[in-house]
Amino acid sequence: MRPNGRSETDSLYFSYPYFDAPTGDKRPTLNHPTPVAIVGAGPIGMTAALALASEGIRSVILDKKSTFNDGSRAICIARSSFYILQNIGAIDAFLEKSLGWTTGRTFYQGKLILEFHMQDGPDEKYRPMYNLQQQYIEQFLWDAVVKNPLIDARWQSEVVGIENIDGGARLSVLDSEGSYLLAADYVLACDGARSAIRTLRSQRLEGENLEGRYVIADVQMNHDYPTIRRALFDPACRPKGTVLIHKQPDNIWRIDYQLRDDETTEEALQEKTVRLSVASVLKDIEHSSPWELEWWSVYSANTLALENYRDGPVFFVGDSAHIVPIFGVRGLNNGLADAANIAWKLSWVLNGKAGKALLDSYSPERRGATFDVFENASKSARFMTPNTHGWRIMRDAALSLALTHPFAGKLANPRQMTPYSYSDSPAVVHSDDEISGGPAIGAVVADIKVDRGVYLSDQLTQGFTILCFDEKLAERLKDAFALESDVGVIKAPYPSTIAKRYSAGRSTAYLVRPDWHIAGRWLNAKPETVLAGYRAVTFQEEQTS
Amino acid sequence: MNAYDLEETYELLAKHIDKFDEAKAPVYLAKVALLMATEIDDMDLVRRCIQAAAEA
Repeated sequence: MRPNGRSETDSLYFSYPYFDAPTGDKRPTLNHPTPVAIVGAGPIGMTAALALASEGIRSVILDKKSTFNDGSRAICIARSSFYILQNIGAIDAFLEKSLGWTTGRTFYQGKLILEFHMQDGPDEKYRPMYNLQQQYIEQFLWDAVVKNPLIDARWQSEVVGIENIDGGARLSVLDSEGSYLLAADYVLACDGARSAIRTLRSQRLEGENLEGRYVIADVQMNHDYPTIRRALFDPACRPKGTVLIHKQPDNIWRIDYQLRDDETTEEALQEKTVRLSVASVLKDIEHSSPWELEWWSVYSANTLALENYRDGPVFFVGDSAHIVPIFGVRGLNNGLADAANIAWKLSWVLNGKAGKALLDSYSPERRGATFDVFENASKSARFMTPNTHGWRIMRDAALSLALTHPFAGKLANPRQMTPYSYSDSPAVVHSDDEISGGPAIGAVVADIKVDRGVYLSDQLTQGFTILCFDEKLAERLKDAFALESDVGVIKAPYPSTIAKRYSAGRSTAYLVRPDWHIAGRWLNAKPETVLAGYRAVTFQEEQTS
Repeated sequence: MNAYDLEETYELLAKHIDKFDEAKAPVYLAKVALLMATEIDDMDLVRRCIQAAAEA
């Protein structure tokens, strides 16, 4: 919502583009089949399209809107998501515009009770977290999409029907010029929390709604405070409530405050009420100079997910598959990880490099990630908004104790998002030749600086990568994988810092998937064992049988 | 006590408090305090904890 007199896209700092429906010469080709149809041109849909295109897979994006999503919405991008953006070739604009941060401060009744620092240092290529408004996220992804000839994005194009056909699905698409049918081998439903595809497929989210309603309001102001997340518990402006404050680019500040039980959502969303509430928060943080209200919205914390993120040829990606509490900045970041996960698997199947069974690993891997998010976010939500007297007593005790005993302040740690480990996935391989220490099977690779300005992540190849530590083993691995396309071998020095970080011996090898999760690892690797592991996690047996 | 144990203690207490109605929660917490004091078996330390909790 925006102040009276301004439309939903009338921003103080961002010009929303307007996109027409496909017209003219494009129309006769609209019904040409596509390998992948992506419903939703938000950050998840565009990321999926770019990830598919990086593997040479064409896609059509369909979105019923004529511009980007309104408002700043998701503003925190985790380090793991920056690697995804790097992989799809869109990172530069994000690095230039976003605000990196490492630190959070928690206050109770105006006094600092916790300052936490997320892992950072010279071995980290990216900061643990970046703040950037969602419309910029969409703009930067869109800038990459329009340059990519493999992506056909169609705005004002609503999917009103979907049916299974032999070898895929057929979508009924409606736009201002008419309607048409579009056949696709696979469909990615990236159409958000109110997914039309989910409804059309009669899929239901299941889970629970957590306590608490929160208003998020963006204001533009010159405010002298570094990019540090501030959490205020029981502040003077919101007795018994909580307030979160984030800095964003363009002098925009996110003020996020909890509603009291006696405040109705309708009343809380009135412009006059929002202005009064924001003014009281700003007074609390001793901001006295002018400010302008930019945008506001309301949210509640939910833990909802589909039972299966796959329904035949349709994959649910991001908020269409799950709705997670925003505490710990997991919504957007979890969705981006979904997109990266399904995109590499689809592209490997469509390119004939993997068996179709690989696609069945998408739902268990990403549902596992969702439930990990639920567990952590629910803990955060219970601290932010205790829903029973037991949790309330403990929360109040921890906060008041934290004023004099720093150990208790640690209980207020918001548990920021970390990548999920696919240790039980069918798309990883375990062996008896295990390594003690180093990144575990299923975990995301641990990036490390290997040379001046060069990181391990810069050396990982587009497809699978085998990381080894011995020249002869590297040569033998290259020979063993000579017939496999898109598998690279890189040799790290031994002994070295990276070898130590990976608990590697001279004969150790790590098999890294295209999404940079560890598919397998062997202390004393034999090329034929690694090759068998690679074929297992890409389900190649299925293709030849 | 490490962060994991502290968090588990926090959660265990919250869940057990919820087994009693609000009026009985203080009695339950007092029992926990007495049991812990007995296990600590260090009167100076117990005295300091009781005082610190009162001042926090």
